[in-house]
Amino acid sequence: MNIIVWVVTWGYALIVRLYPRVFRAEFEDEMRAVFAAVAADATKGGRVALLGVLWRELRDCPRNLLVARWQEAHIGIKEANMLTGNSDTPGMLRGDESLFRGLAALLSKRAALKRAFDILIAGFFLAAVAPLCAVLAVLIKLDSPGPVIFQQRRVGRNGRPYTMYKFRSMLCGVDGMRAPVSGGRDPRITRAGRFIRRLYLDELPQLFNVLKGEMSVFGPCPELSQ
Amino acid sequence: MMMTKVDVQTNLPLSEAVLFILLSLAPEPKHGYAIMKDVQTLSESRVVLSTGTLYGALKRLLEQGWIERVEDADGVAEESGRPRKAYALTGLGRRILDAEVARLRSLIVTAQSRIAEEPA
Repeated sequence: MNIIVWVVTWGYALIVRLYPRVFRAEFEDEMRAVFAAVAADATKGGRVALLGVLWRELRDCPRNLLVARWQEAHIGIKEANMLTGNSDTPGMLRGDESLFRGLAALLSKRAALKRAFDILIAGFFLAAVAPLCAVLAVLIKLDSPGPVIFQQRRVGRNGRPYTMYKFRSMLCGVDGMRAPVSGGRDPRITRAGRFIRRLYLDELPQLFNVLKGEMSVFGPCPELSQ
Repeated sequence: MMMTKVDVQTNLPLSEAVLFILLSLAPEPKHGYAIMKDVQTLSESRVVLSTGTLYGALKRLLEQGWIERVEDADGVAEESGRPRKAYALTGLGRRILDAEVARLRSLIVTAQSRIAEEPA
């Protein structure tokens, strides 16, 4: 039993520490006192009951933290209403459904932030490498016949297919050809292609995909479309 | 403070936890532990609050002015010797609770009358 009491005591201390400072400053003493009283009650019911008290705190923790962070961030009623899409009351007071809507809104806000970040980075970077791109385009064009930009269907977010752009680094019409089984030069790759591949410059046109919102600066490698 | 009927209505429906917390404060002010026990009793152990949920709700209710802190009359906490904090419904809180109860009542009346109808 002693070890259970220890686990519950320390477990609760850890959980309380997860709450934001402002919240703890106001309520920590009271929460601890109440928890101690509840735990003392539960001791009569044995280990399971005592662990149940801790479990309850753990179970409610994620939701409560979310609400507490909102409160800490001084998300007033008005802002909380914007997040929850409610007329007057923030998530917790309205029940869980609106809390999840609030969470979704929060996440979509994050998505918007990420998008803005992508546009900024990609735009800036594109402007910076534009002269380099012009030189590469000329090189590729002179080196072998075919388009400068290689296009390939890839699968993006939510399985949405899109056309990914790269600088062409291979000869045209070699899609069916296989890479050499072992070592040696891949005969499909052009001279200019070898150069741009080594420096990963073939990826630069993907910045357009980022600008178009099909890719993100940071994200998983998109899979080939079948 | 002016509080029109419409303003109260926009806060409804209440979540179950908030409804039970307000209900437990309706007869008299209570401190945290007493609220927890009372909510458990009122809900026949269906709603058992964690301290995190309780104080998250209390903080919000305080901020919205539905409840307020009062000195607990019969209470000095055993260890700290400080007066225990108790929570009491404000006028606004009581109006909101009344409105919610009225809403639930009309819901019940509607539901009962429909159930009582002869099947077609």
